[in-house]
Amino acid sequence: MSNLFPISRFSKTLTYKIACIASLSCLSFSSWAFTFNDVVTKAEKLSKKAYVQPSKNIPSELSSLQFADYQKIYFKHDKAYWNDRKSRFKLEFYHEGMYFDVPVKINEIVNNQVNEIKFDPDYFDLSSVHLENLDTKKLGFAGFKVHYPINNPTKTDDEIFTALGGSYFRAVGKDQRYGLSARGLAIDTGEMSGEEFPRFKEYWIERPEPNQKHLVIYALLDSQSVTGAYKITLVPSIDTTVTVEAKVFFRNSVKKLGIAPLTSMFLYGPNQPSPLLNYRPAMHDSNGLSIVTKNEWIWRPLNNPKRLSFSSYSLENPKAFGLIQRDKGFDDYQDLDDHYELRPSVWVEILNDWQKGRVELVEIPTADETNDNIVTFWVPEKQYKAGDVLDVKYRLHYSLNEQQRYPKNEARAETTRLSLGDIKQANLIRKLDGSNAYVIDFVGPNLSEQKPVKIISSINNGSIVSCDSQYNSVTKGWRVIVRFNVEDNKKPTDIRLQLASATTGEILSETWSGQFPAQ
Amino acid sequence: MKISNILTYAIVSILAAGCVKNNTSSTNGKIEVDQLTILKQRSEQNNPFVVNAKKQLLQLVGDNHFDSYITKHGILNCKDDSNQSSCVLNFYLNQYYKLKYDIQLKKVIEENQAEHKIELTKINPTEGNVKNYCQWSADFVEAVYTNDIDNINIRYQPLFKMSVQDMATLKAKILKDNYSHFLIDENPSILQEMRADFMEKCLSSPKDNIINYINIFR
Repeated sequence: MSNLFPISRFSKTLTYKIACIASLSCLSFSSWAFTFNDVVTKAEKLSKKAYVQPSKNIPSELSSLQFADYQKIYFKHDKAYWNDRKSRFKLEFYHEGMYFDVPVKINEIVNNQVNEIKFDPDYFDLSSVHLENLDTKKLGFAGFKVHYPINNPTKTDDEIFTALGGSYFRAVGKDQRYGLSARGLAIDTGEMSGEEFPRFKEYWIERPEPNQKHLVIYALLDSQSVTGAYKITLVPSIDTTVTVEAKVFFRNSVKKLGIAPLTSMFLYGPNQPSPLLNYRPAMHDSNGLSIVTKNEWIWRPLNNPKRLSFSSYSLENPKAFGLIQRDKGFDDYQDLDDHYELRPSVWVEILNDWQKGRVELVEIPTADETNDNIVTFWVPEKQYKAGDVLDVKYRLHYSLNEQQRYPKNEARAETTRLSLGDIKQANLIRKLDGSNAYVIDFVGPNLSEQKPVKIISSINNGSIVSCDSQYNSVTKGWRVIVRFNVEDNKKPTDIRLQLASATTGEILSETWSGQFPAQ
Repeated sequence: MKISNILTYAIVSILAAGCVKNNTSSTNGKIEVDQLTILKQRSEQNNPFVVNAKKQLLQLVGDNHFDSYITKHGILNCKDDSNQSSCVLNFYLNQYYKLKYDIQLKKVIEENQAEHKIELTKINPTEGNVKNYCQWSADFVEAVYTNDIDNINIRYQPLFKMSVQDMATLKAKILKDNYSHFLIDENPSILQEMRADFMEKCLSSPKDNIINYINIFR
């Protein structure tokens, strides 16, 4: 049949070429899907360009809002994204305002297509802050939040994840309230040169299938020193998990890199009681840093120091660390508004080889509970410079049951109380002896009255006056009272304690690594 | 004649009579065997139907007792029949079907007895029993998802009377559930949620539960 048509050699070649291009484009179109690699490519390209400081775009009426007013800007729930679908997940968005003054681009991935979710003033009700007549058409989103029926299968408006400001995000599990925040990356935290705050400038969120129980979010990180591609997999449940896979590209060398940063608040607690009379026994989102190494569990009670404090734990290939809310009962806090007992502990489970480095804890003095004054992160030993690439993968566990992670042969320091040291006199009256004391209750299934313990202890910047153990029949564990004197009260005093079997010497507990702050 | 001579004579007479009696019985048996051999040869000669029927019966009766079996059941009645082949064929076939029927009957009775025994071991589906069943089957499924081999083999497989085949089917079904495995890897606490969902479904419709309901409850 083709012989019936006069086809020149040129047109034959052209036909073949068109056919080839058409089939190739069909092939590539059908196999194309937006993946983590697309964000990696964007991050890499961005790292080769000079950093551009994002410009603020909000009017003074919005930038001058106080936090309580900003919270009154109401997202209309009936306009929640995916509300019209059978998806368990729904998206809502944050309005710009206060210091959230730079818009972020948010995209939805549907059937491998990327669609930008455009800002629409009609999503929001600003009447509570009397700004309903403000022209906000040219603004953008400040961030987003995710809803999921976590507490009750029929109730779909439980907020379980929020991403707002810089690279900050928070999550909760079942019956939890928002507590500490995580960040994508920390740079130069606590350095004299000032901290750099990388920000997620663009998000891509995969639209979930109706029965899907996880949500995938991609994010592009940008700052003066780095760019990064992030894949964040959110699995809400009794404990919610957030798996973070990141590839970071360095524009410049970084003095102190903080991986998997957690930011929390510790105002006071039994290990450092409030200097002012307060009916609340404790106010904190976390009360200890826990670190798991190959063969040791370390517990460091948090402080609200009088001076900026840095503590470091040098490790090789760590397993996990986290900021823990160890006191879990309402009685521990007595706060009907803030319910600190419902704020989750967050464990960082490390999923690739982090080699040598240190877990750093930064404690910043604070006078009230509105400041996040606790920061912890992993600092790799390697110094990263321009052109370097870093791959990290870790999983955050938001849990109210941190004790379930402990092996049965590892007793935990359940409570730490600070006291003035005293001695009982012959007339049975206790007399202060000028020392300080920590009273630590260790509990665990491996402890019993029938198995006597001994205490392994050490101190720097001071001396231990006495270190006694006593069986606690209430907790079914052992109480340790360590009395100590401080050598130089302008420096912190570090004390380490472990319980060991009095008969075999076997270690029975985590290492309690307390710090008496500088005065 | 002395008394001792009379006694000796009597004993010898008794022994001699005994010997004569034994010889007569042996002779009769030999005659029957000969008759049987002749009957079998004659009836099978040029008659493949008889040969095949005999082979069929042989399979059920066995080689060792075949001749005594057919003799006992009256094959020799055919020796005076005008059509010996037809009579023998009829005998073989009758015996074959009778035996086959007996065997099948025995098998059915045995199976019924086994089922009856199983029925007796089943429990009543009371609310409490079903609740326990659902709880334990949720534990069991969780153990399969987490590959808790000790608990599966020692505790749950016997508890739920799961055969090797049942276990293989359950494991294959759970192995194919890639999405749940992905979720468990990402978030181990999702197992508690899955357990709660499983319990809810089981309690609302226990007969549809995947764990051997029919072999546990009446």
